Amino acid sequence: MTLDSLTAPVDWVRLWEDSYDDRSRIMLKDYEIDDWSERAEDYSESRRTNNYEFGELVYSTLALHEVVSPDSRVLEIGAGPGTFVIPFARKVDHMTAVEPAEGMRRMISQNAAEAGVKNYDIIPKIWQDVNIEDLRGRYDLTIASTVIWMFRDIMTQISRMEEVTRGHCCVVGGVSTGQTFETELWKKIMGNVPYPQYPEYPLIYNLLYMHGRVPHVRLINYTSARKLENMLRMYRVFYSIYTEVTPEVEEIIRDELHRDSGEGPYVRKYRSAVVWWNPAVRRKELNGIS
Amino acid sequence: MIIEIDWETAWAAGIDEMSRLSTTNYWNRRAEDYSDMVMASDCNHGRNILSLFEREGLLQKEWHILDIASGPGAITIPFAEQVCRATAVEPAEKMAEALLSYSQRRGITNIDIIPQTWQEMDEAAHAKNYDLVICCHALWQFPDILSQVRRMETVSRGYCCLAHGFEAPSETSKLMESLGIYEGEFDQFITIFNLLNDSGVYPNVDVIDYTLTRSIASAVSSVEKLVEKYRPLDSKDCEIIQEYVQDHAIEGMYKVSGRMGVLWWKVA
Repeated sequence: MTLDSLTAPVDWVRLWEDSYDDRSRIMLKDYEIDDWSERAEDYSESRRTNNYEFGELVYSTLALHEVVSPDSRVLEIGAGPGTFVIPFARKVDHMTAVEPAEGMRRMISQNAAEAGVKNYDIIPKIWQDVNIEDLRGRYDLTIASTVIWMFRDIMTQISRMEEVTRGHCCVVGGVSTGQTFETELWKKIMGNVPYPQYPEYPLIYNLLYMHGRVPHVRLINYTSARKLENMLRMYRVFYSIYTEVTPEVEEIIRDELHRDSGEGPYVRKYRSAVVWWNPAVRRKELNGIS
Repeated sequence: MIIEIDWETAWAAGIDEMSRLSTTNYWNRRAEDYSDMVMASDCNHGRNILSLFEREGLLQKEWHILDIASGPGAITIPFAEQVCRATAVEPAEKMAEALLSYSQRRGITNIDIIPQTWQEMDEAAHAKNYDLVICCHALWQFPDILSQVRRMETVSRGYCCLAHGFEAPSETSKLMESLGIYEGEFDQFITIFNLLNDSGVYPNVDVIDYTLTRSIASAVSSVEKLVEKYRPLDSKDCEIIQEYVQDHAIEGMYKVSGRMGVLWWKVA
């Protein structure tokens, strides 16, 4: 390997696309909106763990750095069961959730009613279909978590996130904690098929940096707990993307869950990177580059 | 990571020349102009890093910090003003003298200096001695960067922090270009960032703005010595440097602004 090839800039966009394509190649089918409706209950239980610990940690991180305040209007992309809608709405002026899955939208309403939250609305679409002309500059923060892996055209979608905010953007991406349960389960079900990558961090940091943004990062640790029924629901949807979920596959999942945590609850420790940036601030040598 | 990039090898290759040229002797020669800049700037970037730890609610009066390759004290001084003790690792005698003289003038008495390179320091003898171990703008001294980061973690009982250039002052880049000195496209900051993440150290990331102020004489001297790292200085170089610095100075002072990336994490 030459010195130049070792030290040359990396084409992170191509790597992002390659990762997306590699994942697509081993899929039997793509995710459908109904899959996310099916996931609503387990996702909700996970996000509600420890009174929305995940959303609360992200909020306090952003509030400490004056990215959000009580006056903020926030747009959440792929809000799921109200990942940020519920914890943020308690503290900001208004939340808008972009959420295409009907089951998830029902869960947002249910969770909001339970939390006594009313200062929110929902755009029932996938983010790519949202007409940003209607939203341009209307928000102080655009935020997404566990969503950007769905965007092959990542920088187009990032630019659209930037266009609707007059303040900041934030992406929260999962970081490895070294747990091996998922990869071992995958191997038992899928054999030698490579474990699919859903790379968000640190890839997203490199993409933003390469395109001249000045991102800040905080790492947060949080817990997710689900009951057995919800774990099974989650795995059923996940594995249906990659294989036929036969009774034998279900049995393997059940056995492994039991071996790991008995009758439950199934508690997982997660780590995420909270990445935020002000789109108006650019690295000087890259002024003018979108 | 979805791709296999050997960041350690990339780092070693990318900083090889800078590491070879930036010897302790070089920094002894730079001590005067560098100290002038740190003092005239009132340790601007060090104060900004201190503010970061204050804002995070982490800074404690009881802290004992270790500043690796402290130079004249841009980091050591502002921290020493706020914490219990600051230890500077600085092998260049003239830099260490400047730090001592600067701290004495400010009436700061809680600084001690280890007159060695960081690589020479016995980490086992200092295991878990420090609440914050910081290395600012000196990482290019370490071709084996990950080993040195692991040693920093060994001596820390709290946090580690690496601060590094994120965006060079545009004035400096323009001047270097007109002198025909090309320092390459190797991006040190993003390489360190990826190297740390790849090795399981997931650092928090901040970017701080800084402004460095210095006298015209100090600015001229610093650029001349920088040129001499690469080749002998000639009269044409001196002319270009003098003219550029004079043209950009305001009321006798030469100011440049840049950004510094700050990577910091709690040691497990």
